[in-house]
Amino acid sequence: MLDAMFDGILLLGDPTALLYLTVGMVVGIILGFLPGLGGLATLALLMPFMFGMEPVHGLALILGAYGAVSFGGSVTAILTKTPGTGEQVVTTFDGYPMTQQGKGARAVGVSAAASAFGGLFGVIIVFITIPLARQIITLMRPPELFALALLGIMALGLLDARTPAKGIISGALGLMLSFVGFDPVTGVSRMTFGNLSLYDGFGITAITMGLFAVVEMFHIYAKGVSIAGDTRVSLSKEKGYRVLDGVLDVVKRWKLMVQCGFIGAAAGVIPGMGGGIAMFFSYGYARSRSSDPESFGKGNVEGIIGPESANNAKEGGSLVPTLTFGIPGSSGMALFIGALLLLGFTPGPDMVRDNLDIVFLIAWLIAISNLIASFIGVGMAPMLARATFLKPEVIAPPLIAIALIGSFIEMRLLIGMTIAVVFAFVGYVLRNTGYSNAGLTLGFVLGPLLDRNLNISLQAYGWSAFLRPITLTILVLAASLILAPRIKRWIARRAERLATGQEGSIEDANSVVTLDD
Amino acid sequence: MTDRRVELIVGGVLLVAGLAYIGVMSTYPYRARIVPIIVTVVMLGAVVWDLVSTAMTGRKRQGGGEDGQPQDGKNVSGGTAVDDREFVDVFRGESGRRLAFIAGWTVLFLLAVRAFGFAPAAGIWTLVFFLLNRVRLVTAVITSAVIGLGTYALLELLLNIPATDGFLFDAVASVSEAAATVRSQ
Repeated sequence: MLDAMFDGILLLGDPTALLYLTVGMVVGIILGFLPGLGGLATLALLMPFMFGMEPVHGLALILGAYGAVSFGGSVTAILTKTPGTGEQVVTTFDGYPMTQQGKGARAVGVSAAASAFGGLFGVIIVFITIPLARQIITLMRPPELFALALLGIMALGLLDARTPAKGIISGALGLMLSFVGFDPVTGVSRMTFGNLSLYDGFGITAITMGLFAVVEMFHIYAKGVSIAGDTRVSLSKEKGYRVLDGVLDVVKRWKLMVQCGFIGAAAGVIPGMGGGIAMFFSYGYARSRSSDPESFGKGNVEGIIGPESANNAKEGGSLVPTLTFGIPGSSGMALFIGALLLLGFTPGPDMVRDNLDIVFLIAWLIAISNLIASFIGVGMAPMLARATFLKPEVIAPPLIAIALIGSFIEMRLLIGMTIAVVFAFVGYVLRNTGYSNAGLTLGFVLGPLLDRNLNISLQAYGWSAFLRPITLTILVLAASLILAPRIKRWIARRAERLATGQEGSIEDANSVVTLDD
Repeated sequence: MTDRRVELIVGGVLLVAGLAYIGVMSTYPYRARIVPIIVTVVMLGAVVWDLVSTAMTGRKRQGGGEDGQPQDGKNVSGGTAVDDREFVDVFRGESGRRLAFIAGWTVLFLLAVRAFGFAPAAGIWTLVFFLLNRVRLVTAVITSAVIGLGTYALLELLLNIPATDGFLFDAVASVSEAAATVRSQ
């Protein structure tokens, strides 16, 4: 096993492989800046170039790009509230408020350091868990996956919306929208009304661009101030505003980084869980253990460290089921299997047995591309952060144009742009009436997972699916998210009433004593 | 119009939309409709709960009770906290005019794409926005050229999607083709 690990890294000693890795990373970072071109699209774009390539070169090219693309998306999520992919919406929660305070460079520094670490951590997880993977995966059945998806949607909606009811509505709306289109379970086309453009449902990029990027541009243009508001441009060079401060923030909170990296890697190991759940759970976890949970959503660095560390660790984790069983751990990994087949490898137990050096080469490539992309990102952050001080008249039209074209690219249909514009208007109203656009997005992202697993659970287990021990525990946890704040408030009010009552009785007793005296 | 009334209207729209959604979903086979219907019923329950609590909050406020502020000072969608009057105020005065302008520009951008194709629309429409907002001419021309050329490179060269196909250019091409045919005859 150790030999294979070293053989894997030795394969990277070839200068041509390193050149392909660099080219892949540059492509990845550039594509990461363009909304709609996430890891999936990046892999799809680069696959035609892989024909006839040496396996090591081909892998270096696509994994260099794949590892770097998520960091590009994080930068745009932080600086312009334009997440590169739907799941990166979590990074906007605290990243964007930091940018609004003039701390965009620092936030990018936090993201870069956390991403680099997350990538490395994910790879360590690959090294450790490949032998244990089979046992872990078999624990998660459809009822458990359904319950986890539900927990993710509920928790994000409740955290982000103004009231619990609005949080539930936001998540449910996202789910309802995700049900539009072809249902792979039954083969029925739902809510399309004969429109073939909606056969594949609404595009996630179109919805995300509408709800976040375009809405934000409407907001800053209507206000007439730059993204960073009235803060001075020179702030990005002062202490507390620099990229270096962001990196130091992460070093100081290394425990949180490790814990969230673990959450991300664990989510990656479970097929079909996706990055959305990993990022959300780590955000919730970071908030729950923070000494200042109230500042989450207002620019707390821990709100970036958690999701970013988890998101990149997830990629390493998702390699485990992909390579050991041929089950893609994420949508990106589904395409990566195709790329491996092009290069002559068939993921599965045979690959682990016969090409263990290639398995570890893949893990090393993901780690290295994450690390180098983060260094490049740190170098570019001050320059990128200056964009947030531009007038809204200058920044809004190009970003809206890019967002709408990104919406088109995903669906390859003009209706993608129309969907983005419709959701921009809907999102503007929902955002300002207390609903959670993030909850809606997560509901939409996790909708197919929830639909498929709830359907299979009901078929296979009936209603007793919800009584399975792990499922029940997760569902109780989800219910407690709604009830816990109310119970806490009720206890606090009761304690206050009791204290007031006791004070009253003590005062009464004192007055009695006084009278007696 | 107050924010509370807007919230009640949005709640009402969601209620009607949810009922319509259930109505359409119920026409599909059992396995295709069961999950969407469960989700919609949960949403409708939450909408009713929200409508009742919003209405009650307003009544309490009128009676000098609670102020109806967001619970625990929560943010909305990770953005700025919306105070009780801010949203309706956005539509008034200068901010309302600016919001209407950018919304109109965005909708017309869709039409521009159909008319000119992606790359010319991205360039021309961005330039129009800049000029109407009195952005410096050099900045406006350079930025819109970069956007237009970037769109062309991305779509036409990288993704093999026609970036200059629009009905206006198609019409011009058809007219010139017809003219050439007439001339040759």
